[in-house]
Amino acid sequence: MAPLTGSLPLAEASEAREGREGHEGHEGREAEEGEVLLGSWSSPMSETGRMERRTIALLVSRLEIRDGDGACLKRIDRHQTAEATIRETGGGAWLELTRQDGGVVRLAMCPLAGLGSLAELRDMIERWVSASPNSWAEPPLALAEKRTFGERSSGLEGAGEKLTWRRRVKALYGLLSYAAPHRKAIALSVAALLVGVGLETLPPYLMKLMIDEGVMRASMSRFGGIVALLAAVYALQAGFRVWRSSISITIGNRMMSHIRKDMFDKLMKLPVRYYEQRATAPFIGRIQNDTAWVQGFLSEGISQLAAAVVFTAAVFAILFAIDWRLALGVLVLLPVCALVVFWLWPKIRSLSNRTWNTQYWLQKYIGEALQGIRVIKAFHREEEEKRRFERYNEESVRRAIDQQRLLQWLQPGINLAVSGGVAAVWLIGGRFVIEGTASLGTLVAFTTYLAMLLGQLQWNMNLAGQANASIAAADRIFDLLGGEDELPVEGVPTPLPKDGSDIAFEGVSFGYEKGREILHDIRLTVRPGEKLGITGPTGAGKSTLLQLLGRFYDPDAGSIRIGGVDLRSAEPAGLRRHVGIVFQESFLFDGTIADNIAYGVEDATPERIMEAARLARASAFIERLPYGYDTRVGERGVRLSGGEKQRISIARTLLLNPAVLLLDEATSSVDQETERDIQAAIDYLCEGRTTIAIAHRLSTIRGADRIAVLDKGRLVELGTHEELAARGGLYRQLLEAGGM
Amino acid sequence: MSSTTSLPERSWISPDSIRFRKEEGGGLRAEWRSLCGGVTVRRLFPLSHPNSAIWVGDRSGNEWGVLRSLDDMEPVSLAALIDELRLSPFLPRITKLISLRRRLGSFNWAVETDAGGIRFTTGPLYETVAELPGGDRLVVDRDEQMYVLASDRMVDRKTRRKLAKWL
Repeated sequence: MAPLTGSLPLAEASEAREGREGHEGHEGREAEEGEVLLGSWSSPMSETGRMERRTIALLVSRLEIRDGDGACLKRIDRHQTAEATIRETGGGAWLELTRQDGGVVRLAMCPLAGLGSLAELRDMIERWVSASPNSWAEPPLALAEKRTFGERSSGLEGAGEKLTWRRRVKALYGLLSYAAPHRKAIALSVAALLVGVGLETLPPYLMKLMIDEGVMRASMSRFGGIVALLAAVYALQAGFRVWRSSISITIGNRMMSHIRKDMFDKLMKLPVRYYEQRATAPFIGRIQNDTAWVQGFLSEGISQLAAAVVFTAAVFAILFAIDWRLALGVLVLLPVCALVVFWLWPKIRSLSNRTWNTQYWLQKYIGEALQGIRVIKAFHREEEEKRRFERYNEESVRRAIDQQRLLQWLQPGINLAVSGGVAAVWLIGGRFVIEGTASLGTLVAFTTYLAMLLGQLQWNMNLAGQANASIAAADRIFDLLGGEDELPVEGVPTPLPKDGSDIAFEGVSFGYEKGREILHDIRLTVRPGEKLGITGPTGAGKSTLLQLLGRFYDPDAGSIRIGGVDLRSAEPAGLRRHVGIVFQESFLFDGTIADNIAYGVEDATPERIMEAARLARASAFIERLPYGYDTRVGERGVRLSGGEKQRISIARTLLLNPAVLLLDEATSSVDQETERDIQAAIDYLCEGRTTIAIAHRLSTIRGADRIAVLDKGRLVELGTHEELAARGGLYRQLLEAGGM
Repeated sequence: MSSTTSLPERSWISPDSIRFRKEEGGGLRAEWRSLCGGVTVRRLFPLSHPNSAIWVGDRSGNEWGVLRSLDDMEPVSLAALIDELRLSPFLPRITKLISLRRRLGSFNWAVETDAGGIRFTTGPLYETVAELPGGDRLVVDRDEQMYVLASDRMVDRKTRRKLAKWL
């Protein structure tokens, strides 16, 4: 987010302000008042949430809030200042200064993009407040720094421009790279096409010869010869078309498969956060339809475009050779055609994008409705959902009609132009024939070539529509392929130590959204082989802590280390093997029970699968099923109960045999009897492993070596069950509320 | 159903019973019943019912109650409260579209809002613009900052034309 300033372009306006501020603002005043500038911070937003520039200047004895011209709006003496606090507003945050007398002053405000910068300002002020007077004599101090949120933001915008160009070139290169492995086949296709174009230009000329040399001279032998030649040309044309099509079909489908594969590979690499911000149902359409559009353009469109260019040039050359006067008249019309195309192109493109948007929203809606079909039925909302569908469907249809209506006008318009052009040539050329300055054969050949040329123009308009859709599809494909991969590994990937490693949370803070911190400064070490229970009220951040340990996200501040290795630099595959997770809701894939148990281990034998199921207390119910381990579980395991799914999920983790085990309320969704059964499975699973288990039901973690209690994202208590129960804190309250 | 006796009763604040004033430092201060001091206010329905259900609590997050509506509030209090609510949440309302340009998958917006001129970047519009009941639209930029884009009926002709190119 960056300011937009009057009529000045952003960069110029910013420089102009910086100049005034830097040379006449700060330094002038500071020299005048004998103060040393220790640090400053700028933002395009005022403390009242307006897009007005503000600078916070820290001087030795005071702090100043200055406007865009450097004028001091407010000053606060250092000795009056107690502390600085960030207060989130939703969509942004204030930095508030608490004075020694308890009064609060709003110093600055930032949108979400500036929260990091606002935290830096808070730290800077805290250092300023606590700095000893002796240290002021030696500027620049550690806090003699300048933070400029606004420039940082606009700087990023500039970087974005460069990135865009790089991306554009990269996208084009990427698109062509799909064609590269098939270059020989494409070259053959282009060669066939060129020969085909050559053959297509022959018949009108042969017709001219047939009329002028055969019919007009009454020569049967010449007439027969030319007809035979014409038939041969048509046969060759058909042959080359079939050959070229067979090449295009093969390479087109191979390219489509390649693009789909890359898209799916990318979907597997994208971080969890990517999917949190998007609906997943439309990805199916994107993988299927967008690849088909791009494939069509790559395999057919490019060669057809090339053919159109070659064909047009060849026909023009022939037209000039036949009758330069008529050809010149046709040439004059070309700029008019070009203008029409340039006028229409953006309109077609815009309509195509708008239609696609509604199709995306429709797909998204259908996906969501189907995923929630049970809830829809349970609440008897079928009619309301039908109405919602109708609204999306109607909008999609309306835009499709808009798009097709434009194309519908286009077609008769071009037909009219073609017919008009041919009629005009007949009119003018007919006069030449009557005057004896041109032959009848010439006129017939010329009008035939012209009809072919205009027909090609008509085809090109269709091609333009296809190219538009293909470019939009390529744009979406590369938007997906250009997304940031799974959390990157910092530096050289480091393998995690095999066993016996401690887990350390070092000052971990994290929020799923900017401006909403879920975990604050968590400091905790889990010893090797220790069983740590985590509990706390809903929304305390328990599951988030496990998500960070599984590295589905990286902390915003601090680090998590296993055996001294920061997870940011841990080898990803090693981390997945090292850390096993049993989620609160077990997800099973639509396959057999055996497939699901063996999901994380490629070479699992039936014996190992059965053993894992036995240890997970799952074998009894599985082995009673008619198809045993080969029973299909349905989409998301819909044919199994919650407890059965959970036991399969435990068996899956057992088979993986991880050194660290994370249990996220693994027994929360089952009845007490099943819970006992599953708990027994979990107890076995935990043996000899470092285990971190979240539980609302404290009975499941009271046997843990230690219990950590989280509240509002902070670690508030840590100790054994007995210690915490005796302490009378939050754990005791939870214990009493749970009736234990 | 478990017992509800342990649930604290919701305190509803009637608009004529509470007084708001801006503090010198820029914060908001309120007086209600026996309570008095600096407060935090939040719209509980910032998109669908911005002028009803306003949460009021102290700066530590302890709830005083919820203001049902802004009707019949004393004018000075109303002005102070509205000034504060404009930023809680900070949700700029786009009043005019200066430009909307596509840069290969990203869209660069330059807009006039009720907070001033702003430039921001979003991903593809089909993913980042969502329609709200009533016709307004919610735009989410790359930094997850949200903006309200008024319905087509409420924006000028040029803005409508620029939007119609993409939306």
